[in-house]
Amino acid sequence: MKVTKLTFILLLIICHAGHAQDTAQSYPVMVQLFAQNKEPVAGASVRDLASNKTYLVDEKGTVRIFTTGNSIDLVVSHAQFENKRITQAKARQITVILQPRIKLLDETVVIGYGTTTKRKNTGSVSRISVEEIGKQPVGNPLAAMAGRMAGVQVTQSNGNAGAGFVIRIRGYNSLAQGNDPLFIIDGIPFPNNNIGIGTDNIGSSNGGQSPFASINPSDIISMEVLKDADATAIYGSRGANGVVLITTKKGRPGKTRLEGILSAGKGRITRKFEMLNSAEYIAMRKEALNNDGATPTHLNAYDLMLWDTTRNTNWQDYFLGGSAAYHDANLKLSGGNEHTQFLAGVGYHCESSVYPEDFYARRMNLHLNLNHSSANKKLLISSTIAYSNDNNVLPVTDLTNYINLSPVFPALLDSLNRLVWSEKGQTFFNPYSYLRQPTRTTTDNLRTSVTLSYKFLERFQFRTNMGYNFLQVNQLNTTPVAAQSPFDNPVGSAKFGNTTGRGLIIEPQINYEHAFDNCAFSILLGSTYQNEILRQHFINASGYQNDQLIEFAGAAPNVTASTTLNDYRYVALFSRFNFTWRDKWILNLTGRRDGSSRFGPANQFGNFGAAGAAWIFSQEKLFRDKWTWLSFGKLRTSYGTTGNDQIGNYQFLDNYGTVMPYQGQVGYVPSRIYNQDYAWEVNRKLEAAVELGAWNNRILFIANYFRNRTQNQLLSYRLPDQTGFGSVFMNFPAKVENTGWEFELDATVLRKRRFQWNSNFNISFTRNKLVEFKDLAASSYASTYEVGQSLNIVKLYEFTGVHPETGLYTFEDFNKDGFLSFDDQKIIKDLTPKFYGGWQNEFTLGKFSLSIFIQFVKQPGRHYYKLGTTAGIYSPGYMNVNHPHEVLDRWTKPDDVTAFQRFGASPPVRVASHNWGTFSDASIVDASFIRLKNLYFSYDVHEGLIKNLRMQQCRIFLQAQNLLTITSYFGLDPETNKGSMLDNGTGNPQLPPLRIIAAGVSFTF
Amino acid sequence: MNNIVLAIIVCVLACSCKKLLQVDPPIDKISKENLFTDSTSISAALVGIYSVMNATNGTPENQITRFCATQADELVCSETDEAFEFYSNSVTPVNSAINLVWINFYNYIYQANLLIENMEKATTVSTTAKNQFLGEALFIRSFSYFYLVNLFGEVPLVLTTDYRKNSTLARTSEGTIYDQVETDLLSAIELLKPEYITERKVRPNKWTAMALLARVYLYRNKYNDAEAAATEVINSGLYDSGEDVLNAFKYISRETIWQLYPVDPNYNTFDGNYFVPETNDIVPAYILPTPFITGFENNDMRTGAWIREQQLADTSYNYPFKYKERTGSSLDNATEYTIVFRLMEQYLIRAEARARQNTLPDAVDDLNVVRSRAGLPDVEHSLTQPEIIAAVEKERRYELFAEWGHRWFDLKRTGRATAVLGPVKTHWDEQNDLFWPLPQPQSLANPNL
Repeated sequence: MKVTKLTFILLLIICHAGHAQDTAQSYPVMVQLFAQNKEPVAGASVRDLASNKTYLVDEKGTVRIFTTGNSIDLVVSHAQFENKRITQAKARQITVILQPRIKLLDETVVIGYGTTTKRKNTGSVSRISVEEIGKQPVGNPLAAMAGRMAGVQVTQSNGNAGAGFVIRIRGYNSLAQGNDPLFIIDGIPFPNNNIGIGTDNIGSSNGGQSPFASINPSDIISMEVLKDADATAIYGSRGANGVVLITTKKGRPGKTRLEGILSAGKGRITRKFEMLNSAEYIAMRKEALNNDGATPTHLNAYDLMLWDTTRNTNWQDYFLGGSAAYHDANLKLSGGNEHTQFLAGVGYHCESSVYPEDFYARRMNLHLNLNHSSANKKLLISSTIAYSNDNNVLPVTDLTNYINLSPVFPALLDSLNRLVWSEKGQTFFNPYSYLRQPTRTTTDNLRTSVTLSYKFLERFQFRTNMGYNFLQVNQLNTTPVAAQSPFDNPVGSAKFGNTTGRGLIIEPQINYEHAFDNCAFSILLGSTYQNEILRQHFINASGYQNDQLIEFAGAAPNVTASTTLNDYRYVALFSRFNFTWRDKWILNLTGRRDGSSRFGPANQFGNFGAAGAAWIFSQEKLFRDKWTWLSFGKLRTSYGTTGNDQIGNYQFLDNYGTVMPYQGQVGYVPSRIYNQDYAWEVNRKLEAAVELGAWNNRILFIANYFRNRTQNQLLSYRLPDQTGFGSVFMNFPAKVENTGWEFELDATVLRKRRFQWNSNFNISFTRNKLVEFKDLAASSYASTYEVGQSLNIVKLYEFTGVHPETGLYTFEDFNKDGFLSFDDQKIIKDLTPKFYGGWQNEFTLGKFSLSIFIQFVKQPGRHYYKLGTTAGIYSPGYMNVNHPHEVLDRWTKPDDVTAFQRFGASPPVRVASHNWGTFSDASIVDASFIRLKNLYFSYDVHEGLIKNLRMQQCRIFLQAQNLLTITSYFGLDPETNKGSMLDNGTGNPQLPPLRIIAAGVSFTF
Repeated sequence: MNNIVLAIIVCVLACSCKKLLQVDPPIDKISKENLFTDSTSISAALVGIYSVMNATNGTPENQITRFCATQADELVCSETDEAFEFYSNSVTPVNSAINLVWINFYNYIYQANLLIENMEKATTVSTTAKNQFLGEALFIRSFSYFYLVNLFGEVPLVLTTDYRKNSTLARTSEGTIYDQVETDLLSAIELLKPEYITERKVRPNKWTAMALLARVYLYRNKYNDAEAAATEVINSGLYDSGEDVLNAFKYISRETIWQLYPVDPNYNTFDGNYFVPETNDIVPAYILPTPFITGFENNDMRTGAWIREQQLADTSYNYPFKYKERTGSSLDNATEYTIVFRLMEQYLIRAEARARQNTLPDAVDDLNVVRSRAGLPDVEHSLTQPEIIAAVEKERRYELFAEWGHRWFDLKRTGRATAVLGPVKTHWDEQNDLFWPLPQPQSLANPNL
């Protein structure tokens, strides 16, 4: 937290500046700071060791200090440059050339309720900073994390604007309940899941708006991911799945600066299927009918008999072939003096869609930060206000589902752009109608946070964080008459959803710090009160006669409304004790007692805690003397417990909900099978790591081993429906283990005056295992899980090829009963990624810089097209359904050896074998990929050219996201269509993340 | 100053007590304790079951008619329809429709059990009201088990709400389940009053339970009991055997014993929505086969009233037209409700029961009540017992077609399924086709099944 550091510096200045002039023997020295390229360095601080006073350098890189004594002894420090100590004889003027920092071992790392440094951290924390975020043309800050942190898996749900992201930190801990990490923005918890917002009755092609779509990535200065027990136990019950800390930009002292970034670009889908053309489709249909012994008629083959077969439409190009516009603009004004700093920023972001018709997501946001300290620096106040408005208009359904329409399918629009619903007396469903049923989601988000701190009794600091988060989501989905088949006697309908979330958090804390001799310790004691209230109103209006009135619920004859309330309260006491001895040995203990309203009265409280220790062995004499190349070496380990309460509210209550009225009386139905005895799920985390720095930390290497075990699994336990419900909420004595290795390598490969090459690489290997499950064989999970296997397994039939005589798919009948049933699904496939990571390279040549980021994942994936099925049910030859080119390798006559079975137009046998096919091991393919995730190329315009504009800096850049994907996966995208726990479970094709190429300019006045 | 700050801090830190965790209850829910304090709320808990029966797609009420009719020889559906598995008598365990039927019936049973278990806690509610509610709950439980046992054969018999016990229950024999159904219905008949508690017969009364009991006795070949039960319904005086065939499926029908009030404004009845085609130029989704149509006697008023012909360019198709409204109007103006029990079935039950007991003239009289309402001439009293039984079967086929699975259950209970369906269904296999398979999600969730 830069602000803290700066305020600390400022504090020192203030303490001493007042009487600096009074010292009799003091004399002034002018210090001038330059970078290697002769540019003055602003924002540094200079400490005079003789007087122990600190001075702040002005924007020209100069400062006048007053020192005493016969020689000068100064330390210059700056965030981006190496600290430098200057000892020399008395002089009136000193010029100092600063070396840029190589690896920021001492840069601030934000942790729970405080900060530390990479050097002294006892826990496992990964970080991405403003530089990495700023290079990516993304609308959602979570997108910027993908591949860049070891142990953090980021998956985009789909490529529609505003889509959600799934973040998994060190795998899946929970069988069923939330595996989402805890997100905290400037100390305030922020919801990620769409459970928290939106009305689930209103569909949108992005699958629900991600709340993070309302956060401007450009406002963020760093994102830290806390992974092990040492780092997460301070968040107690909510730390089990890791914690993501997001810190926004703050004002800095100095001259008032105006910074701007403008960029614009285009997005397109990255990959396409090669589908059958019209002639091939017609041939396939005829062959299928012929195979079935069927004569084409108007009933079973109206596509061939009635419709115009000269058409040849590529529906993939039609629905997804467009380009999405991308615009992003940010302006920030910042500055201030040593007591008060401010930052005011505005941002605009707009993405349109690849679909035909006009769809877009547009965000406008405002970010204000104000910091102030009292004259004696004892009282500090920092406040941030962020407001954003996000307007998202998307079709109600993802049109990617319809890229398999037959190429002879009639045109969907007539010459007047009206929807067509029949041709030659044959009616059909027109998927274009979804484009005329827009869902408009308007999200207003106000986040305010205030931090107040006061120092007293020298070593004590009282501090309190207060935050208020207001989130309002307004949704409207309209189904006008014009978007429906006239053969259905349509009436218009509209759904209105309004969700208001209010979150309040207050966290008073006391910190005590003391250092003496070789020891330093700090004690933190704090508490939390949090309240989240979520209200939803939902109106379903139908029966509109006129489309013009469709947004007016009063014009609808049938209106139903519902309102819900969710109240969540949370209290906690927490403490941290940190002890450092000789700057080598560090011990860190944390504890937390949590209470949550999500549990029944008897089980509301739980205790969590962790211990972490580190040994900086490079400080030992042995290493300092013998292994001089080893500039840094640290061993650390931690063990502790965290919990999980992502179970939704009120689950322990025994109550009835309502259903539609019956003869005027509203009916009550029981909400659930009731169990009030469930309690916290406990996650035990063990971690060991080694961190090494070599050659003055030009190379930094971290290796982590972790083992997380989750017990007392909280889950909506599946029940046979004979009990009345499909599940009951309970703790289950299952034990899940995640183990893994993470490696990070950071290297400054070349550091010449004009050419620099930095490279960093991370890779994670994780393994998931179900260690224990009481009476698994007799439970309702007998068919889902296996002890000793991952949670992410699927059980499948064994595919044994196309039968040379019948031309149908065959599968192993393991129990030899002549039928394929669940007992024959003996093949177990684990869909957990084997490893994943990223590799970033940055090259700087003079004023040019190039950054290339490659993301890679090694994983198996589910493939619904593998056996020629589309969305799992239609065999090639079925009417109106087109297929990828690959299905042409099909059985046509006895003794054919082919990949696909014979074409068939009708059920049941052929369809059944297709269904089995999708549940067979043939549907599991390699979905690994290497993706050129980000490319950023920039040029800093020469000062001479911009001086006249009074510009300090100007940069022109070109950036690209998802530029290139190397994969053997056959499908639109290996990331979104995996069919594992990360997908939406339906296997329906979804719009993949887009390739975005944008150009822009950034400048500072 | 410092002391004050310290005091405040200590206070704040110390009050992480339970009080802070008190949350407002959900506004869209009513607690169980609260529910069993007044008769309106308990009544609403029953209404909840009827509402779900008629509101949700995938409930048994919406599926049994179509799927059983296609399984039997009543309806033909197109290959692309989900019903095709039923039509081709090849229902698989992964069929989602059978799973939904299972889920919904057991959900009704759970709700009924919950009401039965908690009714004694309702100390502030009058005995009269409690009797009515208990009677309805017992009736719903019997109704659910009647269909479960006829559709799936042996099923688990769940009579409590304890999920710990119920989740591992194995299947129970058909006889035991039927015994329970009889016991429950006899209790329901004791508890329920002859009059309906609301207008329009949308909640079951004593005679509804009696009508189901008559059917159960008939299915179990207890002809004497069946005759007695049907007689009670017929003699109750509440129902009219002379209702016009054109009005038989309107909510005003005087023949109706129990019907479901429409809940979803998009439909009056599910059957109307499924059977009546969208437009007059498309092939209906469900078609009555030609042998069925040609089997009607001349002048049968039911052909004109309950069947409609869709004339297309080259062919014409007949579809069930008992319910005539495809889409809904506003609920208050709906003219058709889903009819679950009606008087003609009781006459046919009694006719069959009497024929089996060899009281042939009485059987013929009952049969002729149904025939004369349809505008058909009386059958002769001189017919032999097998002829009368055959005539009743035929009359049931034509009176009760495409209605609540009657034909399918008749073929099964009389052992005539193979004789009738074998010749017309290519994949007919008596071994596997008489009952729906156990839905796979259920067998996976309970290995004891």
